[in-house]
Amino acid sequence: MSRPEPEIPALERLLRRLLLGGATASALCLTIGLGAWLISPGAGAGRVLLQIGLITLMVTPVTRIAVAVVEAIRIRDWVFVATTLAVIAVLGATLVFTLTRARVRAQPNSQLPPATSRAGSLGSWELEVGS
Amino acid sequence: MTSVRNGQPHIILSIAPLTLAIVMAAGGVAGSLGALLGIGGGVFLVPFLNIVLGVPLNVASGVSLMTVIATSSVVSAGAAGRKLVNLRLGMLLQVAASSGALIGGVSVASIPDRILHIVFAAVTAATAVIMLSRLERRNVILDATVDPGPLGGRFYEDESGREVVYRTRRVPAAMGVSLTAGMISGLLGIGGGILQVPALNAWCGVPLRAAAATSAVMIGITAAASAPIYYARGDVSAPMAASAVLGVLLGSRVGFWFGGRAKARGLKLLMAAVLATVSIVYLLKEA
Repeated sequence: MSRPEPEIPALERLLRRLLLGGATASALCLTIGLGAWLISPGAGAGRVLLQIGLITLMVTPVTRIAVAVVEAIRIRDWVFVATTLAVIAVLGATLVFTLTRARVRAQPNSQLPPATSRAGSLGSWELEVGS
Repeated sequence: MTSVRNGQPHIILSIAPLTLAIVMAAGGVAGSLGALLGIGGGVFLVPFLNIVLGVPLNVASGVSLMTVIATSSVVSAGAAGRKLVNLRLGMLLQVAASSGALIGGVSVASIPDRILHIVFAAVTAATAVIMLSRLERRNVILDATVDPGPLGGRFYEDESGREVVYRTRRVPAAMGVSLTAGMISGLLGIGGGILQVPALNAWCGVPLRAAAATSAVMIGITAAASAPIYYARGDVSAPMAASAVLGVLLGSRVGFWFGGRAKARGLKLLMAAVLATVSIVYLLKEA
């Protein structure tokens, strides 16, 4: 079906590539990581790939906002600039909270249950995430 | 803060390959239903993981958040460059939605499961009602002469072959709904689109397709505001999340492929029944 829409702007094409690239890269990491994890649960390669895949996944939506900021500045729409920056500020707060929490979790005196109380190799994996 | 939740260390399952296969299949079903019905699959995935597989609610939510992000990235990549996504409105609402998600993600660890179950029962019941009330819904204003205003938009609609223009009304109401949807996303790991899309459509005058496309972009950014918190807390079981994400990605492809063809009426009725059942199960847990 033909669309009488103007040609997709370069920025949007870049965004499309970034979003699809992010989703594809993480899906690839997760597929291989899952395979490796199934072969030897808890072993380094699978664990790391799964982690990379999930982190890539979580970072991907941020590219959407980054592109929105650039677009907002380009068209000098200051309300739009303000809202996109506010969204980034909230995500920044999430990151700060996450990192602070992670540091707390890594402290030896926190009330973490011993790794042995968590069944299987997943337990040790989960513990490492926070540290 | 510790991983001890509600006085009990949370249970981490040792995951069998069979469990992962089931999770992947469930993700596939949730993803295709989500695509068919135009909602995130999380509202099906979370109760399945929690009730059927016995995965703790916080882990089910963490896994579901990852699938929400994956769905959103793929859908918004497809929508990039089209005029369907109203980014100016989306980013304004996103401030509320992300804030809600942050609040939800931060506070979920200190909210008893009992309360979460009741909230989940309420949300699934509301979803079922919304679904039933919109069985025949498909409203788009066909008037290209309307001035869209600062938060409105215009896009080309395939079905009618015309340009559709709309204004956005009642922005404060939309902000309130976005904040609520964000909180629910942060608390329960579901996308929140099911609340946002009908609200934008019915209350704010945003055509359904524009509302759905804008919401699809928003749910990923909303989920990204609480997913890292779940992740750092250890509530995202990596192999389970990987299986669910891959399942949802495959499933949503299937769903979209059928989407153009299928009449969603019967499916909506069925899913409303499923959601009503889920709601009752969660209520009975606390009765």
